[in-house]
Amino acid sequence: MAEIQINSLNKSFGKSRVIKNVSLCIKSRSFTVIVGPSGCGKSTLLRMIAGLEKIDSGEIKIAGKSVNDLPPKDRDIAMVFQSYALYPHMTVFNNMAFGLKLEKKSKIEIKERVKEAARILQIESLLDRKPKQLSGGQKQRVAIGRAITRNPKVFLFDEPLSNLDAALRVATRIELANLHDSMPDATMVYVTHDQVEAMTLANQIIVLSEGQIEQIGSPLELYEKPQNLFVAKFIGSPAMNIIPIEIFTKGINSFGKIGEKLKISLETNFNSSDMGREIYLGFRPENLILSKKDENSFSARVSFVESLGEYALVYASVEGSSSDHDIIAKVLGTPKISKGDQVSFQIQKGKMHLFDEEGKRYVNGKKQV
Amino acid sequence: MKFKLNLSSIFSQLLLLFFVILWITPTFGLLISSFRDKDQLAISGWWTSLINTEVSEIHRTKGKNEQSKENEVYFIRGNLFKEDKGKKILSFGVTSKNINAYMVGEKAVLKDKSEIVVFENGDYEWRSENEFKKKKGRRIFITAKSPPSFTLDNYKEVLFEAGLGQAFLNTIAVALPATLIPLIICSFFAYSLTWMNFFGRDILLATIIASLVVPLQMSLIPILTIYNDLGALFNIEAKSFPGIWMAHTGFGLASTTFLLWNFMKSLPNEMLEAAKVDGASHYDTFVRIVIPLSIPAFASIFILQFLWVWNDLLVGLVFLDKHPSEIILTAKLKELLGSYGENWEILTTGAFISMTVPLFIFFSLQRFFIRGLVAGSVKG
Ligand SMILES: Nc1ncnc2c1ncn2[C@@H]1O[C@H](COP(=O)(O)OP(=O)(O)O)[C@@H](O)[C@H]1O
Ligand SMILES: [Mg+2]
Repeated sequence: MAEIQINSLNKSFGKSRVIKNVSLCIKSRSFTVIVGPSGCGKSTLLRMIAGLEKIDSGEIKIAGKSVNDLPPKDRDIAMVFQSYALYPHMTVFNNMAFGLKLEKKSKIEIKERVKEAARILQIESLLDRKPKQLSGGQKQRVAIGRAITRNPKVFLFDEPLSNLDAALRVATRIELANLHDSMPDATMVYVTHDQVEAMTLANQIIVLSEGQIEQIGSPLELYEKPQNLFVAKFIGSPAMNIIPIEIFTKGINSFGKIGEKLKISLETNFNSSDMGREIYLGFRPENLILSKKDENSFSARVSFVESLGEYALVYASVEGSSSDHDIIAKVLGTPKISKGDQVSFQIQKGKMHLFDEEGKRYVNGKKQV
Repeated sequence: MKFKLNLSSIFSQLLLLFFVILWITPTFGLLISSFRDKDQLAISGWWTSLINTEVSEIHRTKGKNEQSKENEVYFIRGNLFKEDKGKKILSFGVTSKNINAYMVGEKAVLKDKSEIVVFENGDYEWRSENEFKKKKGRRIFITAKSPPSFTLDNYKEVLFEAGLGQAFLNTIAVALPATLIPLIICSFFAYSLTWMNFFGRDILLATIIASLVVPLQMSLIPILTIYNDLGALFNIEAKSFPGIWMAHTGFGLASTTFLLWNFMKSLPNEMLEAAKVDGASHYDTFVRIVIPLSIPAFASIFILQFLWVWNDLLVGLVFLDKHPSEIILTAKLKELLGSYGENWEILTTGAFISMTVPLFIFFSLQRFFIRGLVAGSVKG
């Protein structure tokens, strides 16, 4: 059991605050992905868990024990670095055995554990090579193998796939998922800026932005109920369409308007006090359907069609009062529309996301807490 | 574009060739000269010694005591050369006015009607109807082709008689510790400056970089004064090998530390952090990772510091005595220059001996110059 509990963690480099009062819990045996744009402090957070970065204030507990003052080696963790960080002068075997040798384990045990890790990762034939004789993917395996041999409770991965090419990245992603299955006792914390990696690997995702947590939840929760605009835009590809909208009528099935001409049913109950508020309407490209013109539809002018066979991405603009709003629709099949056409879209029932002025999610006319 | 590229590569090849020739020629010349006969060295350039050269020499035949009598004719026979060096006589003469009057094998008729024949290999036959009267032999002038000839005599003389051998050993005794001690100290120092956090680290680093520009000459006399005082205090010699080791260590400290620091901070940060996560202490990291990866840097710094100490004269003169058991090569060469200024064979040989070690060091360590040992640790 190795739950990671983080309470009010802070970290600054000089004047810039990189981690701002972060509290979170990483469940034991979970595959947790910390995701966020570059420079948002993911690596810093991970390195603080590893003990490579000093903590300004707050507390990190691993398996119930505060590790604030423990050096990395006593935290029962292993880390896989973005650059692999192999020891170039040692063979693969020695790279993987390094930690065990420092622990003064017996030769036989070292050999057994390295062999076992090599077997899991299918790098048995590489044990006598030096890192410079390995391909990128092989180096990656060795780096993971080095972590496995130490048999830690917690694995920390810092963007381990970012140096691989696209095809290899997909293959390795699947292997990482399998690796977690084959070591069910291990807790894995994985940092990436790639939301696809996060969605496919994680059973818990932590979305980080500018050193603050935006949302924690399962991939499905993040996709279906993003708690704020940031998460809404960050998760999903192509990104969610966001349009500012003015609340126009009250009651069940209130209407909102975009500019002067366009009115959309918001499927939500607004009060009279909400009248005239400028909020945000979000809908995913895959939740747009081409439809007839009626009271639930809105029209847009097609600016570009990207046909991919299985589906087409329709880039269109909705006329607003001051400016046009560009949206993307993901339409199955190959629709018979082309540039310049005027088309009507409908948003699938129950697939609207409303966000208030501060970008927080609206549920049933109430601000969600 | 391609043409341009070729042109520039040809240019750089030519430049390389130029520098190689520039370097090889004098070195090779010195090497050849040091093996040449001292008399030849004085009169002809080293390049002439590689091919057959024509030499003119004066020899003397044997005198009357060695004549023999056959059928009422008197002969003196012998060989003009004292030792066989492969010279081949082309022509000879019997008077200084006309030193190649006769071709080899030709009969020279003298005033007293006696006849001399000289053969290619130096054999001669002097034939006369009358008994030879003169005790001394006759002078024969020869012109001969001489094959290249080399000798170890110069080395024998310089190493054992002039005392350069001892000076050579002394210099090794100075240079090796004076190179290794700072290298060892500074590798620890550079590691701590690069990878350890401690109070005042940046100031320390700034001080080291600043002290790079302090000329060594400024501190010679103060340090010698301190040595003298200490020597007097503990009643030991102020000038000694440990003394000069410390001096060289001190003078090399800043630059060695700076170069090593510069190298070590280029080692990938994540690799050292990986070691930390693997449970390595600073000492483990230093010994098992940083040192093996720093070998190219060590090699180049070793060469630099060693050559500097090897070629140093000033520090050696100040901190060591001049008696034979302490004098260093450069000082000894300078001394020889004074006393044997005319004897080129001593100087060329001495110079070449002093060059051998730097050449050896350079050629044996140069493969470590090839970097890229770190390549492969990062990325694919
Ligand atoms: N050692 C450091 N010194 C100063 N600033 C740093 C240091 N490490 C990271 N930062 C800054 O902290 C911010 C977060 O960095 P990081 O955690 O590496 O982001 P990422 O989410 O891309 O991994 C960045 O703006 C970066 O410039
Ligand atoms: Mg990062």
